[in-house]
Amino acid sequence: MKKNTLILIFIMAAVTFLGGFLRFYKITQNPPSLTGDEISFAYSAYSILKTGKDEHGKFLPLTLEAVGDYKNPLPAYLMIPSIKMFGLTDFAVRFPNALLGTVSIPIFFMFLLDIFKKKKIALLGSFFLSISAWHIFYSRFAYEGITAGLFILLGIWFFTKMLNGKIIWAILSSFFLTLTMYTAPAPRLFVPIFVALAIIVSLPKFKKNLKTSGVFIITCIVLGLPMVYSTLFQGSGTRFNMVFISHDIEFSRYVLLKYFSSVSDLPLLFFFWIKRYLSYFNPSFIFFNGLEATAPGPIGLGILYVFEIPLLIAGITSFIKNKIQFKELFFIWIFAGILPDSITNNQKHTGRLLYLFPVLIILTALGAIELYNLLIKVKKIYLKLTIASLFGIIVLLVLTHAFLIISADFPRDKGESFDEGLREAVYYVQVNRDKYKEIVFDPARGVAAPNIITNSFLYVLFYTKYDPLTYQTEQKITSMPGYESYYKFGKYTFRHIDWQKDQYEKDVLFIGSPWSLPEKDFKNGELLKKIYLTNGSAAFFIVSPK
Amino acid sequence: MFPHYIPQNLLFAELLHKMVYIEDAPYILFPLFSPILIWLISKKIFKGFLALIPLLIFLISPWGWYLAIAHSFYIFMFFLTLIIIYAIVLVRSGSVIFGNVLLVLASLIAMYCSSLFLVFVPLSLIILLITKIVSIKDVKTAVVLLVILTLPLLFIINKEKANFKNEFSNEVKIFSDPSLLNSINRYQGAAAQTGLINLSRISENKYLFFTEYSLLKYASQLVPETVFTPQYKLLGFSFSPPIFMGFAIPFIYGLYLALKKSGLQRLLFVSSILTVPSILANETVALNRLILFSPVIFILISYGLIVLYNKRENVLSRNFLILTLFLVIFQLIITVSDIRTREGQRFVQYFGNKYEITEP
Repeated sequence: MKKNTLILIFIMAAVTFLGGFLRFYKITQNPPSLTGDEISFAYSAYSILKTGKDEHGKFLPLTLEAVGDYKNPLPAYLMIPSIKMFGLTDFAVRFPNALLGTVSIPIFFMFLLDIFKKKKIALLGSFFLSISAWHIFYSRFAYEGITAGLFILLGIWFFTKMLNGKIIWAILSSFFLTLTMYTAPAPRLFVPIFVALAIIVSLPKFKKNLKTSGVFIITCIVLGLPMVYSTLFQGSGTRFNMVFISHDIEFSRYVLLKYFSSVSDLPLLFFFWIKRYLSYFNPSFIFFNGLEATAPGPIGLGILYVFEIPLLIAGITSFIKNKIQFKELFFIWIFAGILPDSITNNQKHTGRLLYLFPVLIILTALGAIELYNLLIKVKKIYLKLTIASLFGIIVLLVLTHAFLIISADFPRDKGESFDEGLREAVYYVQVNRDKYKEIVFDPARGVAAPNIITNSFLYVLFYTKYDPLTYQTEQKITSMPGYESYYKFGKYTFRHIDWQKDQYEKDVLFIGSPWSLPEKDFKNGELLKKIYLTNGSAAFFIVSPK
Repeated sequence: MFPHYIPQNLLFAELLHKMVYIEDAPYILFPLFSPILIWLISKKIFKGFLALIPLLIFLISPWGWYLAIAHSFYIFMFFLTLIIIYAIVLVRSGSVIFGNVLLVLASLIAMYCSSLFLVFVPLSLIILLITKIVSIKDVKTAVVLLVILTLPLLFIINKEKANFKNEFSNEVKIFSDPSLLNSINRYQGAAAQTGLINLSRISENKYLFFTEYSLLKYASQLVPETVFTPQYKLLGFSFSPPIFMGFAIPFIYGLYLALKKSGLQRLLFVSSILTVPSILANETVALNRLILFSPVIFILISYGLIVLYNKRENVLSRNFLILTLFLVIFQLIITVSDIRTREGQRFVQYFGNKYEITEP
């Protein structure tokens, strides 16, 4: 092996190790707790592992039924080996995503090397990915965007290789592109649009390799059919109807001034959508606070770091100016990539854009090289050194700020959104459950107001390692007169706690926020445990009436 | 009944404890004189009837009309800015004397009327001289005259320091947003709890955050969503975009062409100084102030349109041209209908029945 290749492998290994460290370090402590989605995927995975069926009794489901929603199955299936290896633990839940996030780094390196044939771009791009706050943030919990990002990268990479005619690439490309559609909702729209447009712009090559193209299309159809079936007949389409932009609150309340109801409202919807679409290019979203990792404020973390502003601008110029292989595919990637998120009624979400990371990082890497080339042309050495040192200082300051946000601010500001405290509550219950005839959880929580509804039953199932077969087969009570929402299995009940009435229930353990369990009303010895958020606010009280 | 801004007392009047408002001037200046100035400026850039394109775009864009109807003070300042731009164009094209006269007159009026412009006009002139867009030799007389004729104002300011400071802070509100300081305190508090306060002091202090915030504001003025969509609402409530979205296509193309030419790159960069009044406002983008930058946008759109038209034999160019025209006409119709049916109700939803609103 040549010396240069060895050095390259060594540097790549170091970059991957750095990326892995940033993704795995204290992964179970930060984010501070498993989210409702993570828990939901994890228990489904555990249930499938133990019984072959999800918690609702469906055999190897293609769509996972969650509370009021349907989820894509792949994240749960990816968790199965991890749960098998590490048990039903927080680490097992987060391990696959952190691993895929880390693996994305060398794969991205190989992709860049293959497309650009330049080691500098490949190394720089993979380094930017390894330190990307955007990618690190979502790799540290079970978020399907990371898997989608990697699969789309692989799918598009193999698509470019397929254009040279080999059937194996056609199969691999269609496999990864179609698989992505089972991973997250956004790729279900992105992949068909991308494939259609990519075929149009590559039509001459596509026609030239008719056999390969045919294999690609047939594989896509065969692998995609179950998803079409599940969308049409198993409820996955429900999500699309729920989140379509026509139901956007801003649109109905401030633009249309009524609910969207007829075709005549379409023109305004169209212009509202363009406004939404262009807002993805907002500098505040890209560089300053798009990640929403802290409480609202003008300066936080975005998709890219602030020091990447000049790199991105120079990168766009370089991308336009220079001859780059498959340039048109990159254009389609970025412009079609924004489309799925832009037609939803939710706020812009950096997680749903994760599969765009390759394009954005390519642009910044190109920009870095362009600016470096400009810098070496500067003749005065003192000027060259001053510019380089100043930029270096800015990079260090921005990275320090990012480190502080993720390590110190994020757990404090977002603990509640990650359902912090429920793990500790269930641990308490697990140790003490035999002392009580019934254990009641109030699903409503929140420090400012009890306006967050948690799926606390899933936390009970997960942390008590509740036997999936028992859960699938035992009787559950899903409603009770006098309660807006009610759920009961075994000795666990999930309902609103009314302390005025419930304080007379003996041998019952109550777990709820201070809103449903007011501390001032407790008698001596009734309050058994207080659970706090990282920011010091009380999250839950565990109480048993005397 | 139309919403209108509370009139702003002019700087010199405020310092002299008098009341002098520019209330109805926007009504007259906007539809009559500003278009003439835009046409005169674009005549120096585009040949023949092509010079009418920026004027046409300007006249069909809702931006100026909304501000004029609301009696915006910045429509008046826009008129003065156009004169200054025209004066500079004249000086560059050889009409030095007339250019100097216009430059002195418009700059003086602007500086006497607004504390923000008292800083902004000299700053712009200095940048124009440093970047050699205007030669000091050509505007020497104007500069000397400006310095001399500003002395009385500076004299009054010296006597009325507190009054001026108050007036200045009313117009320059960039750092009055408490959320920025709050976030610094929050970040430092969180870092202190985790034992990282020293790192936080270095990387999360007010100097860095104010710099980043200024950068954010500067970048926000320049992205297409700001002027081609109602992202930042006209008069704080409207769904009409400042410029119709269809024009974003020739704008991006014109910008791309301009960026490829090194001479235009510098000119474009310098022209972004016209965004400074909007940057200094309280909001991320203040469309009433950003209108000063609109001539640059109109010219870039026209440039893109002209090149697309010249390359109309090319299928892609022809399609872009057709798409632009379709989108503009379509949105024009929708906007007119929307103004008639919903804008009034929207205003009430945002501001109630109080038709007097504060200008940002």
